[in-house]
Amino acid sequence: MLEIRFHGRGGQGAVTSAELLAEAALTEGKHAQAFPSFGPERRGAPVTSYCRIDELPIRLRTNISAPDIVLVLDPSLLKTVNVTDGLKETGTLIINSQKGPEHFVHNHKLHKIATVDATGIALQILGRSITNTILLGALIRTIAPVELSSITAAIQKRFDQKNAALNIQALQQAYQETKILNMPDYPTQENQFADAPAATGENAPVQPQAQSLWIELELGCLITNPGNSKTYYTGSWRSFYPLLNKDRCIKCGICWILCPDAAYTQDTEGFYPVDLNYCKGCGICAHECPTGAITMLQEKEAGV
Amino acid sequence: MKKRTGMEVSFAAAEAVKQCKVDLIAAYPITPQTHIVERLAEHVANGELDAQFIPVESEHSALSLCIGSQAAGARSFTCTSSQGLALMSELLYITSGLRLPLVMILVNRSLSAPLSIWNDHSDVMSVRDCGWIQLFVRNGQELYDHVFIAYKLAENPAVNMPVIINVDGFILSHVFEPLETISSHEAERYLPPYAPKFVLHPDDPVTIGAFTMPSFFTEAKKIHDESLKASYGPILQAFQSWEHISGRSYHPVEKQYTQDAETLFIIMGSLAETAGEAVKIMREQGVKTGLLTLRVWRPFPFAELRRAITGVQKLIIIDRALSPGGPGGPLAAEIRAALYNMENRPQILNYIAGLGGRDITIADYIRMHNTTSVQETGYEIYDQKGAEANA
Ligand code: SF4
Ligand code: SF4
Repeated sequence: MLEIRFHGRGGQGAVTSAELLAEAALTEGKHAQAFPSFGPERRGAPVTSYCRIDELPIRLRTNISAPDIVLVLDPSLLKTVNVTDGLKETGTLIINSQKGPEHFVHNHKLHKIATVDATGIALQILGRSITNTILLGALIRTIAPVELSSITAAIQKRFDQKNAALNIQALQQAYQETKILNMPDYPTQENQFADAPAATGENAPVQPQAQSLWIELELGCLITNPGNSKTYYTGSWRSFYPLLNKDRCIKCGICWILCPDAAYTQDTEGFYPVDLNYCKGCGICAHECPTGAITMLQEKEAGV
Repeated sequence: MKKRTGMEVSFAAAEAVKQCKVDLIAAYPITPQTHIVERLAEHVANGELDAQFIPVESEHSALSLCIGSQAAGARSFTCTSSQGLALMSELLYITSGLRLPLVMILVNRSLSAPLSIWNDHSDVMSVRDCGWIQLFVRNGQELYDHVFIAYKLAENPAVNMPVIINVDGFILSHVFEPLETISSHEAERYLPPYAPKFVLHPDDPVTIGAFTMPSFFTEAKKIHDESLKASYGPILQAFQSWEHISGRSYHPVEKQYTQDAETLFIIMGSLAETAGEAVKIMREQGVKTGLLTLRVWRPFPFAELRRAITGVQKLIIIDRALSPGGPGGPLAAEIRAALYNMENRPQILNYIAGLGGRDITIADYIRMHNTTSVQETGYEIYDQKGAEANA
């Protein structure tokens, strides 16, 4: 059985990619299942989805904790989520990144590490940073659990004609551009741990599922420190940030009202500066600003 | 002997609630609970009780309101029956999960359909797993007493659990009978003011009712289960300290004529009184039978029950509720489970009886006792006419 885990952000289509992959496997006569991590996910929050492919019927109803393949749909996740958690020693890691795969060597026993600039391709072809189908292109190129034609068939079944065509174009470009490192060929001393995926970062959000955490539960699970969402830095979810052009701003406060994470506060001049600790990069403010004073810009990947 | 007063049982309950000096009462009228809350409304209206009486638009709101007021530090009370309890059901689980020491009197009435306003235990059994302490009383005196006991127990910092006091509708709630009351001084001595560890207050905010991830939910439920089991000791303490005040002693499992009994009736609620009379008559005829009455249904009194039935050959368990298509009545099903690992388990006869207000007479108990029929399905829905015809 092949077990694949997708790491994405709420709204990037991690669940759709798992389902497309399962659909593709089914069209090849295999057995497959796809499922999301169930929970209170919201746009921008780290999410996971899963896919299993096998020749035999699949009867497991558990999360995938030791995947054969890990796909990372958003490079910013590497700093906040332990994406390689449980990845099999002989597994494969595929990352959306502008950097080459040698930057992500953390375990020399891995089978393959691959990277593709999925965000760049997505912006260029789809006009927005939805990277899910694009990573599937990289997956097929790297390890081919299903045929490319099966994935394109699944995309055609799922999307309308126009979107299917664009997604297939993006997927094929990713297939061409994916950079693959065959670990057995890789010199063991060079570049070791360069940008190894990290479990924690400066603004790493609290991992709600942390298993080893000991917490004394108060009577009735009452919480004695209310307002603790202030310490939950949703800013670490961001792959785009809003830039304000004060010359255009009419101080209407619409950005402040509509920001789902209350990242805006008003300053003494009446402008609304953003607190990037909490801005998760959803783009609602830029979309709703009546004068177009806010532009969303892509966060730079560290070291690029 | 103290002075006895004749009183309708519902009014006795209202008197006890008044003497417990509750801060808030929220209720919606439903037969046969009405006399209790109407009397409380009078007490509040005429200034005898300094409390908020909030006539809400539904039982759902009644319990919601009590959850809020209890969380804000107010000693609260609600009261319902049957469909009213069903409408409260989601909030019952919330009250206990939040560990709010609310007290409710449930005037037991059957659940519709067919529509019936009369007594059985189908209402409380439908929320058996709601996580409250659940007590049953046999007479007006016990109901009066258990209001004090319930608040004492619920608010005990080692317990912090809501309590349901079950009282049979009409057949007990609407009976005028004699009982002893305690003085307001004695009431104050028994029940100190409510002093919760946390209250909802803007000066010192807390969050209650927050959501939990799978990594903590099981632990929260485990604590609930352990706390409910651990309330058994405080229940005994509350009974004991009540005995000091009132001279009346209570036990989780009440025993009558159990000395060398070969057979035992087991029942809950006011029908235990008639059953006791039937047992007395049979004893006079030389029949070695006795009676157990479960006063405490949650936490289930496993150890005390096992001790009480040791050496007995046959149990006649009378259930006031049916689990259609299931293993019999809930009382019998749980007792069977409790005895499963015992050596020399007694034989069990389970009668579902007294549904929707049907009378069970002394003759019925004697008939149940003398039956030799084997219950193929593990239980029998007792029907007097059939039993009489067969006799
Ligand atoms: S919505 Fe646009 S114009 Fe209005 S306050 Fe915000 S940035 Fe300024
Ligand atoms: S500041 Fe704008 S982009 Fe950031 S979270 Fe708020 S609405 Fe979304």
